[in-house]
Amino acid sequence: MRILSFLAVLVITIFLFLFLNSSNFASSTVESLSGKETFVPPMGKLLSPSSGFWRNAESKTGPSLSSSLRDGSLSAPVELLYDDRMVPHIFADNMQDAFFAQGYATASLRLWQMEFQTHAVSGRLAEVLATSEKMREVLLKMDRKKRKAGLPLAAKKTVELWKKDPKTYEILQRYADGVNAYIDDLSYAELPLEYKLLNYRPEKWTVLKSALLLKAMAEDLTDKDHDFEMTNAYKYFGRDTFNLFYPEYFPEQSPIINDTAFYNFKPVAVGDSLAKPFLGFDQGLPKNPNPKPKGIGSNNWALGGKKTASGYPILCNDPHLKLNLPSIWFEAQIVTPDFNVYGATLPGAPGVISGFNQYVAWGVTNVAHDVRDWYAIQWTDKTKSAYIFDGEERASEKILDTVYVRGAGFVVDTLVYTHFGPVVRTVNGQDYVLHWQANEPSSEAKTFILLAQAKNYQDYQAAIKHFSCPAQNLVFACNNGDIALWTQGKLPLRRPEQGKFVADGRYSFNQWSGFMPQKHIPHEYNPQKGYVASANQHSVSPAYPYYTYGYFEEYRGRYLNGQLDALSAATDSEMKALQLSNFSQKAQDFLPLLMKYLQRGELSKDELELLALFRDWDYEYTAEAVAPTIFEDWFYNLQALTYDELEEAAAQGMELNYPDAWHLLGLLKRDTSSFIWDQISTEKQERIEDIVTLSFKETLNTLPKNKSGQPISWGEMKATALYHLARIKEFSILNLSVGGTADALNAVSNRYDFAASRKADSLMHKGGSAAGPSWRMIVELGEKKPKAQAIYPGGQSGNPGSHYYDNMVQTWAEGRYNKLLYLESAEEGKENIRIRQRLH
Amino acid sequence: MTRVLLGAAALFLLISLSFWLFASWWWANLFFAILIGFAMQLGAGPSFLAGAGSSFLSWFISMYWINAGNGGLLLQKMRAVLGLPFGSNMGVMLFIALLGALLGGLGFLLGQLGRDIATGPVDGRSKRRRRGRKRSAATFKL
Repeated sequence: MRILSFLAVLVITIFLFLFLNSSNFASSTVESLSGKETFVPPMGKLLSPSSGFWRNAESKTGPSLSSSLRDGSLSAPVELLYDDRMVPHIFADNMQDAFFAQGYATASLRLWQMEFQTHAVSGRLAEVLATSEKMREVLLKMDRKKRKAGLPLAAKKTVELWKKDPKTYEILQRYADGVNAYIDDLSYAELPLEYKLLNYRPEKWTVLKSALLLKAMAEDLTDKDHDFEMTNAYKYFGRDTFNLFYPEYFPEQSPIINDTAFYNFKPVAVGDSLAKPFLGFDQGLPKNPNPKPKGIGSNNWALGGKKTASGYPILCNDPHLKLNLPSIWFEAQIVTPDFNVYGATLPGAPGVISGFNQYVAWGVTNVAHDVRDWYAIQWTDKTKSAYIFDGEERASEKILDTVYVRGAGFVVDTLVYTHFGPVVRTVNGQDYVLHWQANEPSSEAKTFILLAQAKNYQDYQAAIKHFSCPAQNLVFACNNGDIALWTQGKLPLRRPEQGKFVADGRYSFNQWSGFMPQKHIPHEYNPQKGYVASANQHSVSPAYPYYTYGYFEEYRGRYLNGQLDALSAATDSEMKALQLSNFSQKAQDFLPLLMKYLQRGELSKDELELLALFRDWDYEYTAEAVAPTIFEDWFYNLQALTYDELEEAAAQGMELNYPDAWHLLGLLKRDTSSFIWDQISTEKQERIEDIVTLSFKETLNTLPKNKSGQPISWGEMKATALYHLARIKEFSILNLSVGGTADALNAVSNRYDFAASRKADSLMHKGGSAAGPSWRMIVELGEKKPKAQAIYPGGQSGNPGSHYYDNMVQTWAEGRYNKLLYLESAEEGKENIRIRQRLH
Repeated sequence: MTRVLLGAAALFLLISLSFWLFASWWWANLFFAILIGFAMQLGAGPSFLAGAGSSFLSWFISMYWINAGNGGLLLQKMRAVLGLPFGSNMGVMLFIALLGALLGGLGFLLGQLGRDIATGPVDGRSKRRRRGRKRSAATFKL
């Protein structure tokens, strides 16, 4: 009996133990990666007060970081001070130790994010997130797609390139050593919360992971292309109608480099015959599956001393990226006897991406030139071992690739490479390969390491020439009065229209003809106008000697240039007002024209009441306003009715894109009798007035309304959301009410899903985070010490249990800035320092 | 009764101490409960109650202390992440503390029964039961 009792209790205890080790009485949810999915962390470990999630709970005083770290690889002690926003200020005797400390400090607060981002770009999400059958399927598909596109291999090649530059490689290795010094000391209890939830441990950090992160940035900013849709359009419409729908230059454009005197050089010969699309397909080609959210883009400008109140340049930058939590940026200051740099760093890579030192400041916006082209490949046989190129056989390269899927083992894939790049898409048996500049090895890390040390324009030029992809408008200002901007990157040389369509991969004349020589890259240095600026608009006018093609935003740039032209004796308050401007140039362009053609006599009482809501609207997209909601909904209806030809094409299996919004402006302004205004589906010959009026009438029905039948506010319509990187809803901030729109300088994107909302007859939003100003920075240079302010929507800590996880979100939403604590010595600013660490 | 309280106090101290010494508190909880259960010889019922009570207190006080220190921010988020069916942070803490109590109680009981097997039951209740059995056997013989 005693033995039986003992055994019974033993069985119960063992059962409880197993239950707690792989418990499934509770589950965490991940949304949107594959619908709504659950995964089950081991509850015993997770709930334990000594080591589970409780240990990730922080008080307002911040994380409990050890006061010292002993690491034999440091050549001298490093002081690491965290201020009252948990910004690390690193004081080291040399660059190698400084970047070791940058790695250590970043890992201390953002380790899970750093590693998760590298898992995402290298196609390894199934390894950590695939905890159910459905997630295995979805994530394996995502991972295989990533690997096929080529970035994991490109990152490996990048590391090989870095190894040829021992100085840069040493810095990258020291950064990795710093991260690993943190990882090596981690117990289970100290692991970031997401590791505990997903039940895995961090790997050692490597230089390859830094390369992967930089490739992730290149992917984010350059993986946009419409080649398939454009090829469909060309085949469907024919040349003449295609040209009417998809012109390349907006007549009212205000390019970044508009000084045509610069265009006066002899270009490299490329050829001027029009590129021909590949048309050897019967059914329409599928659309680009990854359209970028509107709002990805950025603003930057630098005012020369003649335009500022202080007489010294002011530099401003606000890169618009996905607003995830933890934020893409991590603020840091790095001080050595040779430089003192402060700014936004990329967690996982050394250096400062957008920032300043004692002498100079710099910032980035995306150049948006097209650097992704597709080629149809003709194989010699089914084995795909060789393909036809210029009438000869060329061998392809096959790489066996192994994907690990959590709980399901390994999946082996064969990646096939041609000299253009990897085979990425297959449509109706036809393979298409991708030539993508992001797949080439590159040295962007070196640019940011050198910029940290720059003292003048020459140093800036020497630093930026290593930057190739994603091409960036690198704005610059120096306290000696110099300002400059280069649209820096490897920009392909192409014949007219090359890159716009899918090309025939059998012929060498469809290849790129090299890259723009450095001296021909569009740039400005101390221009007469007194400022340099960019907002993702076209880099140059059509008079520029090389053909350029890309995905440009033509409203913000026009408005920005107009405002900067008018500025004088500028101070930081005018700069803030510009960065926070919710003014829409697009609305100002369109609304007066729409009003002109709207036939008021045909409107009902309710429609007239709706129209009255536009009265006194100043084209500001504030969160509270309802006019932007009505305008955007009307604009969507107007596009759908105007471009009904595209719907007709889609019905025939040819998926096309709407032309840029400025094309519609051109029709309203200059082509009021175009055949495009006519509705194909009706016998009546519609005119511009009919379409404008009909689209407004539709708006009364399609407009999102509140319970009392009134249009909802703009803030409610666009429902700004900051999602946690793994889409864990409880670690996200949803429905943040902020103003702005993709074509305003405060370019916070609209998540409202027009098509889905119409279909469901309810308010529907696109999944994932909004895009928008991910870092707002204003730097006023001076004789000795720069004054700087900045903000980003997030917090320095990546720990959802920390006060510093999202403590700056509200400040950002309210349009306020933090004054940056730019220390000159470790003894300065003691009242602001919360934590002191000594690495020795 | 004194022995029961003494055992509970010992377990409370040991598992509280293990908060600082061990990565896995629940493992430590069980381990110490078995150990003390083996050493104290309290009887099955009191053992379970002593182990459960002291574990419950230890877990609850620790969680309450951690939660109060950071304003309950993380617990509030985790409640939703884990899909725990409780309307408040207190509910979650009570639930987790009950899990701890179960571990402690089972541990004590296991220790106690193990001891019984190894050395034979020597506590008062068991002796009485044994004496009773003997008397019945004698009566039957008579």
